[in-house]
Amino acid sequence: MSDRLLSLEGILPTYPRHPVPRVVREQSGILRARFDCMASPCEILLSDIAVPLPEQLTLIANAITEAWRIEHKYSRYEADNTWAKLHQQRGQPQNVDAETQRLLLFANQAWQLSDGLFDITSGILRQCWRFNGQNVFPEKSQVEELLPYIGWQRLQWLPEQSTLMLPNGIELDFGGLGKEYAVERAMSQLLEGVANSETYRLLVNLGGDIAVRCGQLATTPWRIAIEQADTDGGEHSHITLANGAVATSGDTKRHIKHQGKRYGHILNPHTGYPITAAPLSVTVIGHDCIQAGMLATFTQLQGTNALDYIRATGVPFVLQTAEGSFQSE
Amino acid sequence: MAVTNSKRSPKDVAALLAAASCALTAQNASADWSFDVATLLYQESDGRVSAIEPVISAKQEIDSETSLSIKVVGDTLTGASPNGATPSTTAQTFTRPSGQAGYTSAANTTPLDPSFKDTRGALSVNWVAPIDRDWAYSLGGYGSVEHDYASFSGNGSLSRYFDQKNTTLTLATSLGLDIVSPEGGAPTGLSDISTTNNYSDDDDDDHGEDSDHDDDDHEGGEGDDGKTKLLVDGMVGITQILNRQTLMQFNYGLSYSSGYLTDPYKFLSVIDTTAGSNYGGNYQLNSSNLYVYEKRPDSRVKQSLYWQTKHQFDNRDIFNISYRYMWDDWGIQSHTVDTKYRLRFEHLYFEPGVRWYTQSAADFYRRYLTNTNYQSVSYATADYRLGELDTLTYSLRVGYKFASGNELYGKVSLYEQTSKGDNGFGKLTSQNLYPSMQAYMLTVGYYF
Repeated sequence: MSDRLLSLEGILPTYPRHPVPRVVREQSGILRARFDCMASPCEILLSDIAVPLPEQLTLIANAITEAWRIEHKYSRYEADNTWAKLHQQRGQPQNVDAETQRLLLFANQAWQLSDGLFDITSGILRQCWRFNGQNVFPEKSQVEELLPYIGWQRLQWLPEQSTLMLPNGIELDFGGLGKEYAVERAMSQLLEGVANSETYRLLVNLGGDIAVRCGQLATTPWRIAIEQADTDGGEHSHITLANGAVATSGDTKRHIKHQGKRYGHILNPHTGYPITAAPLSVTVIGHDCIQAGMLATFTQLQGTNALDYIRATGVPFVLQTAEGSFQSE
Repeated sequence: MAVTNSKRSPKDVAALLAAASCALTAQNASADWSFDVATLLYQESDGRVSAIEPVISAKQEIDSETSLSIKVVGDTLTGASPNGATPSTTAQTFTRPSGQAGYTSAANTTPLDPSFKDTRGALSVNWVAPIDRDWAYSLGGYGSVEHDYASFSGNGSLSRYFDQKNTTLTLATSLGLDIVSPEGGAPTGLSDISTTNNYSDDDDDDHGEDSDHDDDDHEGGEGDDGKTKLLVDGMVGITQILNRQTLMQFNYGLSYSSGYLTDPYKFLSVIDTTAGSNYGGNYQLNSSNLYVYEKRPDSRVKQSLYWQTKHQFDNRDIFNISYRYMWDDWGIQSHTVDTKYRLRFEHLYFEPGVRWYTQSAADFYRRYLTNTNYQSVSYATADYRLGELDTLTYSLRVGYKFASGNELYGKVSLYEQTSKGDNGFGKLTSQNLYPSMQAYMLTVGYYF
């Protein structure tokens, strides 16, 4: 029996911006769907002997639809989505929907827990920091011009009334948590469909941010490879995981070299400059993808203290610096 | 809103982020309740006990490992239940405490107490939650009230997971208190049922009340000389996932009860051993039949071993088998084998099941007493539930699962009970001392 190509046609709404997902039933019985979302290659893996194949395909279609829905809703590149409407009404109080409300609530908690270092208003720094390989180091004045528009505390937000006043010039960027959120939402879609089963094995991977879940009777956990930085997929370490998530912060290709110093793409919202001496990459194995992703980002934001910080969380990790690779015991 | 200066430990940050993330991904901020509403109809053969029992269960799943369950049960029992006396060639009249009307049982029939009716309400609440990755706990409470009986208990359990949750070790315990407030007070064990002042005093001393007070109060079941029963249970169990389709469970249970364990409404016939025309007939005292109240020891230690295996086949059918061995210091040993097979189709399932139960008699079980031993025995009961007993239950459950996850189900069961033991002597040998009994149960329920 060889791998079998299956079609989601008819059960998946078409999004013109994305190619049609490719679903393959592998010899092992695992369904593997590959698709694009948030400018990343993504995949969903599903196996469950207790759920018939047509239902499995429907579940995968639902999960992909959910990931695309979130992308479409909060993308900065679309004309009339929730994100665009939010920013059209800057300078006046506006009501936000329940999902956006929850995201703002979470952003607020993350801002507090990171002592202000994780800030979803810091996205506008992209205007002067472009990590696109052109190696342009901004002028000091360019950075300073943007600082008055950065700071979560500048928002006027009444969570109890779902009311937000977004000052002019301030921009919200859900990119820092949107992918992790989409991973967990897609996973929720899959879990709803296998609620009556104990034998499911599920994996959602959006561009390297991964969540896995296995039912009580599914005894084979997932085996996940963790790429080493700077080796282009050459060397891997592996972890096995039945329930949890893996998320990575750090992209070795996204940096600027200036006067012999390397500037990574993790920016400090207080200074407007890249965090100095941040690790090349941090991979965190967490309870869920959002927690893992946030911890990885928080760790990067600690700069020179990154290793001490992630060690102190007690959460499993792989951290890579120019000096080498470090792992939790 | 300001950044707090006090730095949280990274460990706290990790935990708080996990909690915040749960709140974020919960689609509808509040967790959903699911309900199971069902009614059980129970009917014994020969017009004996019948019951209607509505059950409402509600469960709130806060997350995959945290849940709150509440169950409310009401039942109404009516009918007649064997009072313990043996059938006789003549009609038998039984007096009742506190001046209530007695009743007469026809010749050659098993004497039944026709006033067996009660309404019971019960409530149980259970909370299950994880402590951390490896530990989970549960806490629960139970209470039930009927006019002459109240039962309260609290329970708790602690589970430890090993090997990626493939193995679960569970320790559970419960502590219960039952209050028995028989109509007219609790009778003195082994005393003549026709004597009116035969209520035991041992609990009355504290109250200093006369028995008239109790008589006035018998409906309330409160404030009178209720007898108590203390129940302590402990269980240690291991659940092992053998492979992705098979689950196995072993439990050892220890249960201790003490206090008033006697059934205040049951008694025994005293049979005449005197050679002559009444040999094997009811013994006469003051020219009426003598019956004495039953009496059981005031403590009981039960132990049990339990094994269960669940297997899911490739076609999704599920096979479930369990065996329980129970033994106690009253001399009862029992074996239970319970097996079910669920045939699953796309929306429909059928689940036939068979349960077999057998028990040996308690050391003090007597179908009857005699005029030579009724004053010398320490304990005696003729309650068939403590005699040698076999039961067989056949059941069929049918369910339909809607695409929404709701389920409509029905279950029919046929229960057959047979007893055996000492067949007596003389006139008694012509009586059926161990009538068999059938019961039918029908349950209809909806899960949503």
